[in-house]
Amino acid sequence: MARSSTENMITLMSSDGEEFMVTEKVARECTTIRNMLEDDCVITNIPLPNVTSDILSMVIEYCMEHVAAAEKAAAETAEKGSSSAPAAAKANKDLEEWDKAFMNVDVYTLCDLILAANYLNVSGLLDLTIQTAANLIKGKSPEQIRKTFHIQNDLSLEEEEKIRSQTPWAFEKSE
Amino acid sequence: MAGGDRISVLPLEIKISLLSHLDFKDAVRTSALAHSWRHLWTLLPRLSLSSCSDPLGLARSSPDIYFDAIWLQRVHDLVSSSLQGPILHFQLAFCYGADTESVMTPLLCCLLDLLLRKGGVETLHLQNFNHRRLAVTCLPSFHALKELDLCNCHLVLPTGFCGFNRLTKLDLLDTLISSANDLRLPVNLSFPLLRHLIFTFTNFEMVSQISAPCLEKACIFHCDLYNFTSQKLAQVTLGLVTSVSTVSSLTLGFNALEFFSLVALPFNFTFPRLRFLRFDLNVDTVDKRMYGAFLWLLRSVPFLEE
Repeated sequence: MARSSTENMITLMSSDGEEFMVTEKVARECTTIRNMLEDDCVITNIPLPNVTSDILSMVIEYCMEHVAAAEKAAAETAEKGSSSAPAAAKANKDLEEWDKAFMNVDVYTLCDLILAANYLNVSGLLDLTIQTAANLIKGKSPEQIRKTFHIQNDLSLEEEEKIRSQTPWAFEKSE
Repeated sequence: MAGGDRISVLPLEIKISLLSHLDFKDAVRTSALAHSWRHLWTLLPRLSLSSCSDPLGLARSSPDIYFDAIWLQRVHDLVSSSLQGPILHFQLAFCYGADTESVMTPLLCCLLDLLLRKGGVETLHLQNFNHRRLAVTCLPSFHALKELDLCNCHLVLPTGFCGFNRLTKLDLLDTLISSANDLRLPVNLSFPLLRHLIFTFTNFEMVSQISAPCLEKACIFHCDLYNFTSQKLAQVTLGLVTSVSTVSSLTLGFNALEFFSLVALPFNFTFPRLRFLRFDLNVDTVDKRMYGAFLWLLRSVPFLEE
């Protein structure tokens, strides 16, 4: 944040009243906030009543990392005239690794992050979180999925039997 | 932080998006989780199925020539009885069966008609790995198509058809395009929004001109040098890429380069905005003529970056 003096700072306020100072560039990663800034450019304090402080701090962490990665790539391109393919591939891989580590959270946090990413409209984070949730469902039996996400089974035995018999192929074990 | 079921209370569109990230079989399996999940999969706006992985559970002991046909019937039943909304993204692959064209074509048309009635199809991928080409006669009625990907198909264009107006990506592999009119009039196709084009072993019988004013990326592979129809392909595609100043990326594979040079050399074409040029060639087959063609292409590209 060395160059912060030249950049506009925006204060984001979480539902529990905590304030987060971020650069405008980072805030603009959230399409919802970008639209607000474009509608009213003097805005500096944005309350986000739908996002708690712990989730908001994670969203900001994600945006900062991705803004930094994009800036680094842009700087390298400017330096050399054109980006070298191997370096760009490595940077991409690093960012992917970072995303993967970032997604090492419990399912509660994951669902809250999905909601926040959807509300703030951070498409990269929304895609990442939904893909992570999908990976937890992939190839699992209904029992396993219920256990993972703490889903209450409100179907009677007969109802569940009926659902399974309608699409029996979906419940076969794949080899 | 409070526990409980957070995923079931997510907004509907997020849950549908979540199911869209799963294989179809995985998505359907969520119907047995709880009441709120029961019909969720029937709202999916995309369907991607392949008879190779047999997700509709047709137990099969040996490859049967009618397998794809029976499977296709199942897909049709599924779309007509279970899936509720329009299917925006549709992807189908057939892998088995030898000579089932007469059975497959009406079934496929029936399925495509059904999709069309549901409306809104934007992405269509049909991959046919059977021996015979599959005719897709009703395809030109899909006006909303943004992406079309055909493999081993026969696209029959009705009289007066002049192109898909919203198409942004066209990928044709081993596909024949012909006209349904008996007069054998040449067909001019126009794709006003097309940005990305891939032709591999594509055969244009009646198409004499393609226009795509927004084209940015073109990939052309495998031209048969001694085959009249593919000479036509080269002429048509060359006419296309040279007439459009927006093309910034061109990939030429296997023979396409030499081919281009034969057709284009007399005319002194240039590619004013080309930034990216790539050749997929087997080094052993590069001979003198090809080298000449390569030099020609390099000369005709003033602003090349890679």
